[in-house]
Order: sequence, then structure tokens, then C-alpha cells
Amino acid sequence: MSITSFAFLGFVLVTLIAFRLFPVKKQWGVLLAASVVFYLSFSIVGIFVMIGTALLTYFAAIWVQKYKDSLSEWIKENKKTADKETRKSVKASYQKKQKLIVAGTVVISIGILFMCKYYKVLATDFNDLFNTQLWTAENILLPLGISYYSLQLIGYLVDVNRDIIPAERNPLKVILYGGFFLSIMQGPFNRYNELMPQICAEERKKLTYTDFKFAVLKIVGGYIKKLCIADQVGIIANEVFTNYTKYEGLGIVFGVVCFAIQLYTDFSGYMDIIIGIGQLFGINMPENFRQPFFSRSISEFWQKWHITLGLWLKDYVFYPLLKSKAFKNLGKRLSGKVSKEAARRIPTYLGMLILWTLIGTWHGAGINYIFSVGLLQFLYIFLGELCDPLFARIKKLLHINDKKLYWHIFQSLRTTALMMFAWVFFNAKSFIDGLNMLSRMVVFPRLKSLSDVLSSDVINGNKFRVLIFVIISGLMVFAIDLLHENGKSVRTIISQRKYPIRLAFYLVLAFTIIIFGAYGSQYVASDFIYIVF
Amino acid sequence: MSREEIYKRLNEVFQDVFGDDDITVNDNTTAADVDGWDSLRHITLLAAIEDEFDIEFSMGATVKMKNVGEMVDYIEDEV
Repeated sequence: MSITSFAFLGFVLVTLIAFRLFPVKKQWGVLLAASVVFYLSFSIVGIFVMIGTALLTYFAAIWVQKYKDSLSEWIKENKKTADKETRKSVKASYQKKQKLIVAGTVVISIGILFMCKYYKVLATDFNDLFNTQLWTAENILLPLGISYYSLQLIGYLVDVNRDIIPAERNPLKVILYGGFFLSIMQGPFNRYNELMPQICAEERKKLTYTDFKFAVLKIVGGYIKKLCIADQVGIIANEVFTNYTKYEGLGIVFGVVCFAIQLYTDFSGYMDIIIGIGQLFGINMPENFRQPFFSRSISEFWQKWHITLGLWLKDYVFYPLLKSKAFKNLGKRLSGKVSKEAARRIPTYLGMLILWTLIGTWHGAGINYIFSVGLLQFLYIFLGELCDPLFARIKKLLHINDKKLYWHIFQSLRTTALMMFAWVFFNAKSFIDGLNMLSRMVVFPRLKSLSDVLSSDVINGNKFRVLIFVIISGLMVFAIDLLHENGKSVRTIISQRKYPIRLAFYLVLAFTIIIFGAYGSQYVASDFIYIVF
Repeated sequence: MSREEIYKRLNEVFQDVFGDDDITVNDNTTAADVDGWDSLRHITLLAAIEDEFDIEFSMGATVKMKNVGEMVDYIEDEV
């Protein structure tokens, strides 16, 4: 059941009516049933993997909690009699057991994820490398949302171990957390202590007209981004990336720009739809994008793009890694041999290298993913930090005031260009195709090539109209983000206008989808790009 | 150790880590108030504080602390 289908809209409507009709305390049951139905509409076998992972995490969390409770009891009983050393050693022994349970569960969950996601690629590579057929490269079913629910459930278990939340006693609630139908396909990565108290609330605010209007505007905005921009611009991007040997120079640059617009509107459009629907249920989920193209640097870009994945990795991978004994010892061993600053920074950069490799691998097993959204991003940030003193000197020499708008614009354009360079590899069929595309872009910088792209068979309509459409799409996205960047929102601005203006705006939105939307009985909206990750 | 004493030593750690002798933190200071206090520098900062006070921040505390006040509460409990 694609979220761009009428079936999905009907499904949400029925769920919403049932949700609002049920007593507040039982509403989570409606969402659990809806999540199961939603999952079953994609896969029957997959749901067993999801429920199995959730139950494994549930029991592990209960087990960890049992040790934590026993430790608290022991401390209470022996506070006066046991000395500090004994207390410390008992605490360490309990924590060791807890760590073992967490580590075992993480290994199993990641193992399942790894098998489902990378088995075929590894088997094929192994067979190709050794010219053998020893490893059967069969397709393994990839359960829907496995990359998302596996990480969310690990986060829940780690939070129980870190004393951030108590273990949930009801296994059905852990299943609902893992399989929540709004976030299972592409996120956002919800935290248990932020999502579940809202879902299982004892009281819920009634849905007011303003809440309803704001939520619907967010949903409609999301559908416009997806159906009217992403899927339309995506036709050009797909043509250029699939048949790049037919194009060169500016034609390929145009395809890459179209892909950047497609990726952003596709992913952020999905988030707007999902977050808007959540608001209809009285559930607020975290935003996943915050005007990323206004970022002054690559590190800032990643704080504004796929935000919840970044925060998850920071809390559950990056910090534990840097706080591990191995990294601390590395820092200690370096001090004295290198400068104090370097001794602090080297372990951090090593941690970053591991983190970015993981981010690349999370997107897929291909070298193009590991390079484009992994190692290359690390290099951008690392070299940026390394060259910072040099850049500062150049800025001083050229009398550049970095508080001025022109410098912000330059930095944002530089960030966007660097990300587009990475996305060439990200969207190319392979790393080699990415390299070939780049070489065709540089070696044959013919302007006429843009005209070749616009005249290709897949694009119906005249060249000028298509070009104008892409420019308007880009400008629309830019204008909305510019408003958000300045603390304003289209929803608030419209709701403050008089009724005739509001009505005209709603009609424009409706006609935009009807006229420009890619849909209809013969049309199947493309899958959201991030669904495959 | 008094809270004032903790702050005196903590200010020195902040000045050293962020390379700015003018930094003075208080209970309400957050990452947004200090230039360069991002997730990379956060972990460097915590390591420097651990060395200074001979304590260890638990992982729960590392991700939960919302401002310097909470950081000082934790140090007060541990030293």
C-alpha cells in the first residue's frame, strides 16, 4: 500500500475515525492493528521477522531491567554496611551482565539486518572474485523497514540499559514501537520515550479545526513535493543517470541538479505527509529536515538532512565508540607524542571515519554508497577542519567578512556543489558509472548537451516548458525553505489571511496536484527513494 | 567540592577546549551558546572534564545532559 495511493488515504481515514472513536487509553490498540494491516499489505513473511526482532528486544530489555532492579535492591540493603570498593565491584559485575545481554541482542538484530540486506551482494562479489559458484547467491526477502525498526529497537534497549527509560512490560507496545505504520518505511527515527508516551497517553487533546487545517496543509504540501515535483523532475534525472552515455557536459550537470531536487522533495515530501498524518492522530514526530541547502558546511548539512538518523548514530554509535576503553587508551597513548590538541582530535577523527563508513554501508553494500555518503563525507569534514586555519588566513587576506550575506550564499552554494558531486556516485548504477559520468561532464563541456536531455524521448512536451518547470520547482522549494529559515511558515502565513485569500490558496493547491501531479489509473507513483534503504 | 570551585575549574576546561579565554559558563549555558560546541567537540569536552575531575560520565549522562547546570550536578555527585 503505497502512501501515494488512494487506498492509503482511505486506510488513514478509517484508522483515524476508529482511533478517535475509541477511549483514549485504548487508542494505541487501534494503531497496533493498523500497523499490522499496513505491514501485511506489503509482506506476510516480513512481519514475522519484525515481530521476532521486537520480541527479542522486549525480553532482553526485561532481563536488563531485572538486573537493574536487583542492583538497586542490593545497594539499598547494603548502603551502610558495604564499603565503596565493594559497592563499585558489585555494580560493575551487574553492569557486565547487562552489557552482555545488550551486546548479544544487538549482534542478533544487526546479524538479521546484515543477512537480509547484504547477503546477495556479498555472495555475488565472492563468486565473482574467486570465479566460483560455491556461495549460492539467492535473493533473501528484505523485510519492509528492517533498517529502521532494527535501529529503533536497539535504541530502545540501550536506553533501558542507560536508565533513560524503564523496560516496557507490555510486549505489544514494543511491537507497535518497532512497526508503527507511519515511521516504519522511511523514518523518522523515533525515540521510545518521545513517541510511546504520546501514543499510549491517558488523555488526548481534541482535534481542533486549526490543528486539522495545519495537519492537512502539511500533508498536501508533502504530496505536492512528491507528485508534482519529485516524480516529474525525477523523469529527467532517471533518463540522465540511466543513459548517461548519450549525454555530456551541461546535460549531465542538469541531470544531477534534477536528482538533487528529486531527492530532497521526495524524502522531505514523504516526511511532511507522515508528520502531518501523525498530527491528525495527536502525535508529534520529529522533523527530519531543516533547510539543508542553507548549510554553511558539510557538517552543518548533516545536522539538517535526515536529522533523526544522524542523532541516532551520534547517541548509539559515535559517543559509545569514543567513550570506549580502546579510544580512551589511544588518546592517552598519543598524548606526549603529539600536541595536546592532536591527541584529542585523532581519536575523534578515527571515530568519525568508522561512523561515516557505517552510514555509507547502511545505505547499501555497493562501493558507490560507501564512497558517496560515507568516506567522501568524512573527507569533506576532515579536510575542512584540517584546512580551517588556512581558510581563516585567506579570508583575512581578502578582507572577507564571514557575517555578510554574500559569504553565506557562497558557503551554501559550495556545500550544495559538494553534495551534488557525492550524489553523482550515490545515484549512479555503480562507482565506475559515477566516474564515467563525471568524466563526460568535464571532458565534453558542450552547452548543446542540455538541449539533448530536454529533447529525449521520455520527456513529452516542448524543451522550454520542461526547463521552466524545473526552474520553477527549484525556486518554489527554495522560497519555502527561505521562509522557514527566517522563522516563518507557509501554514501560519496562510492561516492569518482573510477567508477569500485562504480559499483561493487551497484551490491553487488542489489544482496544482490535479494539473501537475504524476498520477492516474495508468500511472504508478514511483517508490520513495529512501524506501530501499 | 563546592559548586563555585567546580565552576572555576570547569571554565578553565571550556577555555582550553574551545581555545577562547573569554568563555564563562553558567547553569543555563547550552551548546548553542558556545561557538564550535558540536557533537564532535562535545565528546572532547567531556573527556577533558573527566581528566580534570577524575570522574567518568556514564553514557546515559553523556546523551541526557541539556545544559552546563546538569553537567555540574553530575560532577557534584561524582567527586
